[in-house]
Formats: sequence, C-alpha cells, structure tokens
Amino acid sequence: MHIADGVLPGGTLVTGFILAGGWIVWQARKLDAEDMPRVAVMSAAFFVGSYIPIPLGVTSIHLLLHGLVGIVLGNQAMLAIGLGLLFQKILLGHGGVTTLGVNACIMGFPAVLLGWVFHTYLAGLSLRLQIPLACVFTGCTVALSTVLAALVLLSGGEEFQVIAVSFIVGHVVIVVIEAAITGVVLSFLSKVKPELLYLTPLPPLRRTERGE
Amino acid sequence: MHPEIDRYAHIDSPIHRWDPGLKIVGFGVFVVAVALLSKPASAFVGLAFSFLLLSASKIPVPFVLGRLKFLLLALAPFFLLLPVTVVSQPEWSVTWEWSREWLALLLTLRALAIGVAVFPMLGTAPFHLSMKALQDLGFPKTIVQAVLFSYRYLFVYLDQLRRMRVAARSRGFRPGLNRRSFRVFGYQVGMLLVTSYEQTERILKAMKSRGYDGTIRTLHASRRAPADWFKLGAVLATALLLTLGDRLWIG
Repeated sequence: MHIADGVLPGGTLVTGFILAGGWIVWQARKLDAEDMPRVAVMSAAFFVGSYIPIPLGVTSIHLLLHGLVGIVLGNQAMLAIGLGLLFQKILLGHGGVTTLGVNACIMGFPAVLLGWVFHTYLAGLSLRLQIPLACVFTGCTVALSTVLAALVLLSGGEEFQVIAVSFIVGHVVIVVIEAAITGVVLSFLSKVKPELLYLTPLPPLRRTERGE
Repeated sequence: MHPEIDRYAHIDSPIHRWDPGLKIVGFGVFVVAVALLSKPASAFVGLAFSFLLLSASKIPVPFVLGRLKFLLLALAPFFLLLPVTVVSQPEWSVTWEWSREWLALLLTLRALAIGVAVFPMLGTAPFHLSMKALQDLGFPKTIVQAVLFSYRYLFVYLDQLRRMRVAARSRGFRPGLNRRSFRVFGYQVGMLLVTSYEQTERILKAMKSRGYDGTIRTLHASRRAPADWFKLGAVLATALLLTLGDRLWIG
C-alpha cells in the first residue's frame, strides 16, 4: 500500500501533504494535552501490530490495520497512520518520505470514513451483527485504499496503467486477510476492553439506548 | 536488536556536528529537489551526492543497504511492468516498450537517492534532538510531541510482541494461513492495544508529576556556528545546481 519515493509527480506529492497535513493539524487542535499521549501511544501499538508477519506462501505480508485505527481513534486516525508511515520509512525502509502525505491520504481518509460508519451505524448493534458487518466494511475500506493508491499511481501518466491494475489484483488477498483479522481483534476488544471501541464520543441518543 | 534510526548518532563526523535544525532544512530541500528531477543522469548525480553525504557521516554502508533492500523490492516490479502496454481495441494485444525502462531507472535512482539521504539527515543526532529541532523550526508542537511519544513507546511494544511470539511458539503455535493463526494474530494485536490504552493513563500521570506541560525541554542548547551555515549553503547550492542542470541539460 505504501508508495515509495521518486515514483509520483511533484503535484501529487504536494496535494497529498496539503490534504493530509491540513486534516491532521485541524484535528490536532481538538486534541487536549491529555488526549495526545493516548493517540500517540496507541499509534505505536498499531505500528507494532502491523509488524506481525503473516505467512503467505513462500513470503509473508504485514497487516495494514488502518481500518482498526479508524474504528478506535476516529478522526485522529490520520495522525496515527501518519506516525505509523513515518516510522515504517525511517525504521524499516517501507514507503517514502516525500510520499508521506499521499500515503497518509490513501490510508487515512478511508480509515476515518470507516470510523464514522462504525460509530454511526454499527456501534449500537448486537455483537453477532456488529462484528461481521465491521469485517465487511473493513474489507471495503482496504479495497477503497487500494483503488486510491492505483489512482494515485495513474497520476504519474498512462505508463502506469498496467502497474496500477497489478496493484489492485495483488491486494485482493490482503483485503480478505485484513477483514478477517480486524474481526478477531474487534471480538477480542469487545470482551476484554469494550471501552476501547467507544473512545470517540457517541451521539447522545445511543448513550440513552445503551442505558448509560 | 531494535531498528532505531539513530543507532550511530554517538559517532563523530562533520554531519554529526552540523546543527540539527539547519541539517533538516538542508536535507529537506535536497530531497525535494531530487524528487522533482526528470532525467536519469541528474538522478544519478543526486544519488552520488547522497552517498557522499553518507560517507561524510561515517554511518556504516551495510547498515544503510540493509534498510534499503525493501525499497529495491518495492521498485523491482516497475522494471517489469512499466514497459508493458495492454490494448483492448480493436483486439487484445500486449506490447513491450524498451524506452520505458529509462523511466523505471529514473524512479529507482530518485528513490535510492532520497532513501540514502534519510540516514545522514535523521541518523546523525539523537531522535529527540531532531524532533526538538523540528519544533524550533515551527512544526506544530502537538504533532512533534506525538512523534516523540510514539517513538519512545514503540520499542516497548516491540519487546512485548517479541515476548508474545516466543510464548506462542513455546506452546506449539506455528504461523500459517488458517483460522487458528488468524485468531492468534488478532489476539496479539488486541493485547498490544489493551496494554497501550492502560499504560497511557500511568504515562500521563508520571509525566505530570515530573512537570510536563506540553513543551519539549532538553539540556542541549542550539548553537549555530558559521560552519553550520556553510554546510547548509553547500547542500542548498548542490540542490539548486542539480535542478538547473536537470532542467537545462539537453540529453
């Protein structure tokens, strides 16, 4: 999912930084001094979570977990994903420095969208409905990120058409694996630490419905 | 061993002695200039300059090459797929255009030049000093704080993950692409999140009891010598020459 340095035109890079940076700065203003450490520390946990290698044939892949970041951190997911991408570049060599903004947009906006969908439509449902639906929506989120990445590659010119299509085809398996593992994590969290799934404020009506 | 970027921040070199703020500005401009180059020849010169800065920083080359292997893996498909054109009208055909290999070469050289430059940029000072420099340059304080917090705790969680994986293996778990493996992976991610969430409150209280008020303070005082400005000028001049050479050279 990460696009490396040197691949994209300058206009795409600048647009990525403006969109991602603008969203992060806007949302960071809403973070008070006590919330920021929580977002940062959990960003570290997400980064390490994506470090887990999943064997796939002769190689292994790494989880993206950006759908889960969106559900847990909501609008602050873009900051968490930006941090994760920065550390993946400087510590592991994945992705890029000039493409931080673009990669953050590709993964961050679908994650924020999933967080909104989860908290608006799924949060009040019973677990038997909530977890499978969350899996489906997570799969859609990863698919959306894949399509965005392919479109961004196409901004480099028509020479990138075959690469963009190959990128989408190659990520089909990742969509399924991400959806499945996100479902397992949500099921785990709902039993062990359910308040983690409700860190972003619920609309008042749902709090009343849940008897709080 | 932890994958710290600043593993060699303790050695001495002209790049290590360069003021962190001016260093980040200089390298930042150089990286942007390289990202915008349009010819493989100028990208090659950019890569050569990156290696020159790397050798000046005395960071071991094997350390850098080890981190760059993922970058090369990510770029290898471009050599295979960029030259391919698939046409569906009037009938399906697949053609191979050798001229596009130059584009793949340009992308690779640019990516390598930037990838190599990141090491002298961020690996020649302790990470918290680089972040302090970013804060002094005007980056939003909240975001710099978040970077520092994350960096500090990700090594804690890497250790936790290592212990969880050893524990799983010692109980007979062999990772695979099956339901049991997905459950174990999911639980490992879940435990990392639960631990981080529970730790946050303790972290915040510990920091407040030590006077945390949202600002990074260090004992290191930024003192910019004329040599620091000279180094900045040299790197900026190289970036400018590279850009002009790329735009004006007809080859």
